[in-house]
Amino acid sequence: MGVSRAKFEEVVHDPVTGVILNGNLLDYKIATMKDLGPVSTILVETGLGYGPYGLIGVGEDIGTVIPGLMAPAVYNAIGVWMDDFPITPGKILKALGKE
Amino acid sequence: MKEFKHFNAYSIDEAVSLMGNYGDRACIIAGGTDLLGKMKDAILPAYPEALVNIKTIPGLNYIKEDGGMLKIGALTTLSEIAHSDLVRSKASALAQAACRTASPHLRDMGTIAGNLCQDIRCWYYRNQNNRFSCLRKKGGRCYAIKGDNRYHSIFGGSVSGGCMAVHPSDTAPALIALNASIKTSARTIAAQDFFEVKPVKTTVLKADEIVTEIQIPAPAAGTSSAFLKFALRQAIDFPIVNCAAAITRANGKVTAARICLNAVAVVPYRATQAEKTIIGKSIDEALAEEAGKAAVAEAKPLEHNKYMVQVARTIVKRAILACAVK
Amino acid sequence: MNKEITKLTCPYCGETKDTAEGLREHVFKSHKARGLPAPEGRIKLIINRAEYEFHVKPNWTLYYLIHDKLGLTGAKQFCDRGACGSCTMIVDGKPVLSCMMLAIECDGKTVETVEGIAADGHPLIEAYVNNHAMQCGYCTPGFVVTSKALLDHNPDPTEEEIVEALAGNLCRCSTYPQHPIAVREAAAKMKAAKK
Repeated sequence: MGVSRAKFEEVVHDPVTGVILNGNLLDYKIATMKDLGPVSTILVETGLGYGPYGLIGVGEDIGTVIPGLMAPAVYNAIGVWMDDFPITPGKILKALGKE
Repeated sequence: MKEFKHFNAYSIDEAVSLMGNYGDRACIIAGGTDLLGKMKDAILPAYPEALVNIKTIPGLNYIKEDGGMLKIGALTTLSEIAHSDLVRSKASALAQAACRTASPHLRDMGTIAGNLCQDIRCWYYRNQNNRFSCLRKKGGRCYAIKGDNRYHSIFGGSVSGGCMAVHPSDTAPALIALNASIKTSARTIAAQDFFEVKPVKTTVLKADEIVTEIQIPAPAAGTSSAFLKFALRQAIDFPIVNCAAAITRANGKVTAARICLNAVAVVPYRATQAEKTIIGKSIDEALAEEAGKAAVAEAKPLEHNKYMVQVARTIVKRAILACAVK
Repeated sequence: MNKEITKLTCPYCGETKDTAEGLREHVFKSHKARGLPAPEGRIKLIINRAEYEFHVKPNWTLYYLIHDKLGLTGAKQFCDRGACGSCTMIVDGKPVLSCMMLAIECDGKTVETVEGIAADGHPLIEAYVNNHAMQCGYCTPGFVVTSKALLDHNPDPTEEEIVEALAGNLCRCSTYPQHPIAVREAAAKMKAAKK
């Protein structure tokens, strides 16, 4: 989910009329199994839970955490900070001045 | 979906006769993966009155070699083409193209002829309930020119009017690079002349004309072909840019080349400049780079799709190098 | 009796004929048809090894027939445009998207849904549960059916083959890494059961 948000997902509006242009799952791109790199999960028990039994939810947090980690990775790779998600090839080429 | 009539055709003649009676008011359905999406969204002003199912016509699903020519029936599914050893050995660019089209499920449903005859994927054209009455629906103007055109044409609009929607097929550039011809119920058309920009139409087919066979001539000795596709996702996505190249070499020099890009222009774009650049020379990295530059020399990108020029340049270079490796 | 009603209408062009013989001749001559079209919308299907006969409308998709009309609610509607794989069913041995198939065109076909796979006690179900290859579970039937079709023709798939086969199924919760593990486990179980 995080990778998908960092790389593909974006609701596109028509700049003139404001109509949503990609209101379907073909144009609103969710990552497929092929787009995902290897994932390994490491659970760190910190005891920070405020919920019952000391639990805290982590499942949905990746939606914001992964894009936040992808931008520094892109900075390390190309030397330009991306301040807009998703980081698409078009935006990277623009940042590099190669359009 | 709204109601419509449904006919199963059992022969090509029957399907042609049905389409002749209905004209523009009926549609042909084979795989249906493109047509049903269109009908569910009701993107067109007119709803088809009838569908003519051609899946019931026997003997249109085959891959065979006949007199050196590779012949593929219109109802052959993309996964059958992708997995056919005959296609892989004789026309590897087509096998690679079929392999990279859409998703595994859609490849099991969609046919080669359907992939050629599919409608454009412009998000203004495809907006639900005919929201944008654009040029391709006999409307007033192309909304993509002033709108979000990140996936639109970088080689200008069509001659008649200025529609900027690209042709989304993956197999079309492969067939053009391989110099294929398309046999219909009435005539045989070269793949290159098959595509045309008209309202609610992407091909030169008449209303009562049906694609029956794809014919790929035997490649000259020393020919290798390759297909590359650039899309955001590795599966499901339509191409942002794709490129097929078929290059014939003798004694290390290029003697003939056909390079075709798609999803960059309103019809598949033959990169003749790039072909001229490499003919008579031996392929190396620098020459491929030069050919890539030549391929996009005439590009006129719109506001949001300038990156496609760079992508097209690189993909031409890589396709040429991929041909040289084999 | 009103004479107008007894007239027969050609289904192809709407021309009316007085007798069935006249209509047959007209259809043969003008439309080159093999015969008169079958009574509209009557189809036979084998769903999970049980035979059914339906009277369907032309605009019903296979998904609508099986999910809404027959009540086998395993397959799910997610995108309805052939982009997600949640409605996958096995039709004649191939995993296809039931939302993009017209029911009327499936006459005589064999359909297998996730209910049939579960009723057979296929090891995939257990492997999916063991490996927790789901979060919300909405896309899971599509994954299970696609994996079953893969295992049918390739009993021992590699991880790349599994990823290639499942690339058309979308999962919003991103349970993707668990699916190859689950499919491999099911494949191993099937192999052990054969010995």
